[in-house]
Amino acid sequence: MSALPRAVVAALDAMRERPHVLRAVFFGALVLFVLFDVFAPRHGGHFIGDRIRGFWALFALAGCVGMAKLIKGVAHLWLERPVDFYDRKEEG
Amino acid sequence: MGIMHPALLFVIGAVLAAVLNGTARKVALVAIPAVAFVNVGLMEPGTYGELSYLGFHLVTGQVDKLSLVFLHVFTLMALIGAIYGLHVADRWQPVSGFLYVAGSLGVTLAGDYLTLFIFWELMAFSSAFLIFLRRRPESLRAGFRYLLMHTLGGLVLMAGIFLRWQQTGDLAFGPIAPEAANLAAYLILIGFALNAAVPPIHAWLPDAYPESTVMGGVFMCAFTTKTAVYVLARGFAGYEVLAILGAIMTLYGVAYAIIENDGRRILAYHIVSQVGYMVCGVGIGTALAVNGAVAHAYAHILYKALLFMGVGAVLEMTGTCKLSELGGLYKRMPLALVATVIGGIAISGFPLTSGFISKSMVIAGAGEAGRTVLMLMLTLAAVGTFLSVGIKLPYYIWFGKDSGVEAKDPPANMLVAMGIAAFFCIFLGVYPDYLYKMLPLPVEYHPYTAYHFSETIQLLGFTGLGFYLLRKKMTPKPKLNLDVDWLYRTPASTLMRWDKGWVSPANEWVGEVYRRVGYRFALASAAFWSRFDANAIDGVVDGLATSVRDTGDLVRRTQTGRIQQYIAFGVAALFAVLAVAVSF
Repeated sequence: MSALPRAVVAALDAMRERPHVLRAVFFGALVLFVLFDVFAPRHGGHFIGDRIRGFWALFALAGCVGMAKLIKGVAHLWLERPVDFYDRKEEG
Repeated sequence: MGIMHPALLFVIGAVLAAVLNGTARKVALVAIPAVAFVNVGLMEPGTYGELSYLGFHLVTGQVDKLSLVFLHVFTLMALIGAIYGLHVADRWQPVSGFLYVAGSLGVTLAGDYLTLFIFWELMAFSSAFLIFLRRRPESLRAGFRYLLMHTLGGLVLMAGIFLRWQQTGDLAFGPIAPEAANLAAYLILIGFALNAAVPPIHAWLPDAYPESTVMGGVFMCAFTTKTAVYVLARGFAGYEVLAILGAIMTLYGVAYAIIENDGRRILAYHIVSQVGYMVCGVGIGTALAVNGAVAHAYAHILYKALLFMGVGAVLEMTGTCKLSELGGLYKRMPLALVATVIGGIAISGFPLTSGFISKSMVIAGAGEAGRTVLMLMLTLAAVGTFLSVGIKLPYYIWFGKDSGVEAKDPPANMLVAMGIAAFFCIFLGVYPDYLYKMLPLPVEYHPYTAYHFSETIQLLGFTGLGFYLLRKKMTPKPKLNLDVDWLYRTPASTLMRWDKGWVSPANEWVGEVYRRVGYRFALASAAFWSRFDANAIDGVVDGLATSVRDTGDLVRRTQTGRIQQYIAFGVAALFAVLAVAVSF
């Protein structure tokens, strides 16, 4: 393995060995993002959400969790079939 | 028009790929798209290649800003795809790939519907071989379904073209105003929309693309849908139905990507989602939205190809791209991981990547046009995109639970191709003017504002938080998910079963009865007719022949050549005439 892939693996290994640091950086970043939004200059938003501080953070979290739960539920109740569902039908 | 029609260049390339061997073939495979790319740079707007055929006025080279930007990215993509497939021993894959590109370029340059239709069908047929050439039974079936759907779409398009010709007597391909749209226009629109994978006529895409060859997938993800976006942008900008269906598409594709398990099928559903932004932008129809659609097509081709190349490399090296069978590959395929992550952050619209400067244009276009609901739908789809392609896909292939699957990074040519695409994903994000200068409509747009930056980092960061909270529930399951292809695959397989259960046995029974009864009867009747022929027919024919011969003989005997006998016959005849005359 040449230098570049070795460096990538070493960096990833280093991060995986320090999960608490990763978590701290991640949550710290989230707080900074919302703080940045509080002070970010905004100009004539098209829609009410553009004027609420931290709106897009809430939108993303609610959208992500809501969408994932909804589609997982629909899949579980309705869409999921065994992998060979069509093969069995088509091969009769 | 530069050196020559770029489609012709790729047809020559296909011939060279078929006949050359060794290094010469590899040189041709890279040189043809490279020359085509340079050639596009030399093209000047105008109308070229006009010819008259059967009374039709055909235009094979309609060059303007809209066609140029698509030609630019199509030829660049063909170059990347050709480099990616250089190691492939199967010579027919690049042949099909180049003919497919030729079809796409031919459509992009077509100035009339007839030329467009011919290249449109070339695209459909040549790309089907990129599926067949995987040479698995599943691929063969998926390829035929793909071909049938595109043939159906082609027929609808042709019906629209014929109807339009009948009504207007004009085959020129140009904008049709929404107010002037009639049945002909809507049939053409449906034909185009099928290739853009607009639900509910989209299921061919996630059905077929994951069954294509590794190289084929990289070609297919770029051309069919984006050629459709081009023709929609040229012909149908401002159609409300496209704005609504486009926004639905973005969420539809993302929803399936969240539950899918096959890496390339996740990416295929994301084509539906991303093309949704373009269709929506075209449907909104303002200068900003249409420019956004075109910019997004350009950026999308490159990052989606990068993703298909990264996951394709995993398929090539491990034999699978099912998330449930993979995991922990980062130590074995780190470069493919880096490439896929760059594609993943670009499609998610991270700042300094191409998605940031193109997707936001469409969303801003929706906002500026006062379409708040559409804007929120597109933004929600962006959240789902980061969740499924930005996080889920790399996480379960390269991290998660170590599957112990043996693997290593792919060959150098594949890495070079990924490197070029990755470069453009970053380059467009850092230097958006490179792309903005090529856009068809004059409009001012600045993606790097503090507020847009703030909005984006919130969306991405808190989607990450959502995944962190849901990570146990997000584990992909080895399942198949029903889509609308159920509507035709189930009746088709029922029909097949009916055929196997009833029609086929009935056919065999009739065959057997014929063999046992009919065959003997046929032999017996043949023997009878043979005897009848020998005795009756031949008897009659022979008898007739004999009497003719005898008569001839009698006549011959009278032809003695003696003058006394002729005089005697003459006198006898005279007396006979006199006798008849006197008796009356």
